[in-house]
Amino acid sequence: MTDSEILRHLESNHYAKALNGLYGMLPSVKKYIITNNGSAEDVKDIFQDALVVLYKKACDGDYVLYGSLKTYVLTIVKNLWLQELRRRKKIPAGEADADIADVVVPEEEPGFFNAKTAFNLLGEKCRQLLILFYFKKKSFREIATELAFSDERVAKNQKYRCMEKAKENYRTLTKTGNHGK
Amino acid sequence: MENNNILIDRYLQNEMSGEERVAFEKQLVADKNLKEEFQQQQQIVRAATDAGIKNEFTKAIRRRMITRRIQWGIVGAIAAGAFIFYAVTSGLFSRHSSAETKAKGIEASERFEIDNASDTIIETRDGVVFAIPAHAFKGSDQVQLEVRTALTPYDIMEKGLSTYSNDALLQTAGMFYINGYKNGKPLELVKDIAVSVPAVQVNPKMQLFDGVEDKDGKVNWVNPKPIEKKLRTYDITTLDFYPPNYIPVLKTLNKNYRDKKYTDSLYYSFSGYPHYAKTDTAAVVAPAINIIDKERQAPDTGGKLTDSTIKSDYEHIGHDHSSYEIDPARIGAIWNEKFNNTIIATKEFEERLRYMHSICNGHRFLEVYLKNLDTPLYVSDEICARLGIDENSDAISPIQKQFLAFAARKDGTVLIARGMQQQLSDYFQKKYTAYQEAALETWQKHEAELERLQLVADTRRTEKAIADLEREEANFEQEFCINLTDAYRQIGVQRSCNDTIVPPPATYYNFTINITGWKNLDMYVFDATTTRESMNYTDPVTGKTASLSYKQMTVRVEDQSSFDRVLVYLIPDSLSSFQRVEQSGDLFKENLNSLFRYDLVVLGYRGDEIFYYRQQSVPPGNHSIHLAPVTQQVLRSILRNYNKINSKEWKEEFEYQLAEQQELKRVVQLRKDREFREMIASAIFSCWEGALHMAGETPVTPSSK
Repeated sequence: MTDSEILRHLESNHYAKALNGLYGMLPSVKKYIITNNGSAEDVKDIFQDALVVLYKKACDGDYVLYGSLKTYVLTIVKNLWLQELRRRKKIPAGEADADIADVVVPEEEPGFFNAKTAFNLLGEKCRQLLILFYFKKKSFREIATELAFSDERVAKNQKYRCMEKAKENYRTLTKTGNHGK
Repeated sequence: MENNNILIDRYLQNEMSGEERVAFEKQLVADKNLKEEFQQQQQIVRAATDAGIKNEFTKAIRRRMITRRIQWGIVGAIAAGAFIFYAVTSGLFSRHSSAETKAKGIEASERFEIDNASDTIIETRDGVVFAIPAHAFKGSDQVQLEVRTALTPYDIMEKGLSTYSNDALLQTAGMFYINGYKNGKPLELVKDIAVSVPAVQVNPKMQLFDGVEDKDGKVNWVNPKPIEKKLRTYDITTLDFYPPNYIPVLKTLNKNYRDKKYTDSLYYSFSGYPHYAKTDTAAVVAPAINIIDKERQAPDTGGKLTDSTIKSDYEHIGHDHSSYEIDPARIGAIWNEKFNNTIIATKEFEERLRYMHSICNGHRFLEVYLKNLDTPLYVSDEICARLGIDENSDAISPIQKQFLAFAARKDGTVLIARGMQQQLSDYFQKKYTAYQEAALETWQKHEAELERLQLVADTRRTEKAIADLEREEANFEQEFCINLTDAYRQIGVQRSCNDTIVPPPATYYNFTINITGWKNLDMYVFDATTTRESMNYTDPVTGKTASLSYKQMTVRVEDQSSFDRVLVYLIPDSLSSFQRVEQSGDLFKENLNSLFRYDLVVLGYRGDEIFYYRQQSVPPGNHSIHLAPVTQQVLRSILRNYNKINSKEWKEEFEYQLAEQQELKRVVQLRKDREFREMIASAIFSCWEGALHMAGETPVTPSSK
């Protein structure tokens, strides 16, 4: 599959097809992360995060390919992994990434890590609900059917509560000073 | 708050008119709190979107993995002398010697000589495995076995076999023939033979057909039976029985999620959690479960199983809160080597359990599997699908749909020895109770300890409050006495504060009054001492004046918000005790009596650290002070230097404040622990989370109706 075919699949939300083209990059990602103190679990997480970044860039048309897509993905992976290491070891920005000049992943805005954590701390049902609403853009009626709520009013109320709960988690995390792993 | 949530959403979802947008943006600039909330919500929406994208890729990755995986399993039993259509998979057996002959001209048979007295496993050239138990054939020691296989379409065509069932064309996954002989005579098969056929992917719709040869030698395939997939067991400790969200949340919270000892003990400590969390009793009341009649009906399992063989009595369920969702104690009881070699120790069960964790009252479904350890998984799946029917709707409920999907896979059994089911059930019940009791006991001990500590703190505070009152009363008495003596001195009267009887006056005062109440110098002084405000008094007889002067002093502590607590003391030179200065806003204020000289002592507490400031003869006016760290030991010796004041009181005050600081730390830790446990609870109990209960709505499940 050519790079432009992969990007086209991404733009048209054909995740599985795009993945067929991207899966071949996994060994390189694995090698990079494992040799840089990462675990198999980290490989999975970072690879998926990189796919998210790539997908968003493809959809926004926000990418310039100087080399191959594989190089591009690996650069994203390196950036994400450095961000993660910084979070874990509290390496200040700029110290560890001198060798990667072409930063393609913007630094997370302050608090976004807490937002992700706050979201992940929600129960399965709440997460599903927010994903269906914000990402899949489903109507409350569709959400009610999919998540077995008795009607769309309940779905709407639950969405409100899930968001409130997420914000409450966010505030707790900020208060307890959880800024990273 | 409600409006903000909705307003922000409407803004982010582009649902506002131009005017509304402008107004909202202005509001964002003006209202700091709104702006903060806006940013939080915006980031959470982003997090949800990212998670959605990630989910899509995860699904794609999983699909990819599944199609790549070669599935293995074991096919059901067959009858001798029959051609069989099969779909399926293979076992892990070693190849046996085989001999081959030609039969019927074009079909290649493989012949095996087996000892009927012992268990035998044979594998054909193309990988079909037959597991033949001892004495499978009636009445012979040595059995000649003839096996023919045709797995690929090419084989089938080459061997001239048909794929017709009563004139209907079948899709085939392959065919085989097996028969046992003694001296050329066919033998009767009296035990089941397990057959495994390799397949790249299992199609659960494949069925097993018996082949009947007609007089022309053409085979007609009849009597289709669903093929049950035998399950492969794993070492149960390598499977993951936690709720799907549990480990990811521990990981997110940076806990030691790889230490199973820790994750187990934390998880099991949540046994009965909603029951005794006491946070919202109304929210965790289990819905009444009314399925007993339904369960009394024999499950429709094609007549193979009767009501008595499928155990699904639920009478005991549903009366306590912990039965609402899957209680960790239940998992603790089965996640045990005793259950190795049962359906519990299979990947197939692991997958179902993950799903059961994610639904409300998953416990009811789990119970079905646990009570039917010796029954094929798909039969339990079918029972669960019926449990999942939403009686208020004609549509298939998502729960029903999921269990039907499980059932369609035809995942079968793991053979367990006769009587084992009962033993394991007893073991499970014993273990479950033990875990539950242990969790309850631990929790009760924990609560009792918390209560004890709270009582200690409360008692200490009460005693301290009384001591403070007594100290303030004594301070007041002393200060009033000194003020009064001084005021009398100013109007020329000798009076000591210890005088109980006012000395006889030199002359009488003569005056008129225009308001009622006591009108003497004592009262003026009393008022001034109480309000700590200056006073002027002119003696109506002598015309002499007496005055008392109080001037304000304020203390501002630099960076006060960084301390847990700041305490400001004044130590007057003429009193035998100290005064605590009250905080008002971000200042500590007190009016100083000009008859006294005061030392100012300020103590700050932050965690286990103590900070200190001292100024001798502090004048009235505004003071800004900086606290410096000090050790307890040094501070004790400094405070001991105030030998004029009651050292016992000082010591008690200081020790009390240290204890209070520890108490504060304990309470903060307690709050953090509770927050942590709540986060973990929402990871473990998918329906317990506030989100589903705040509305007072019971989750929509068939049993709650």
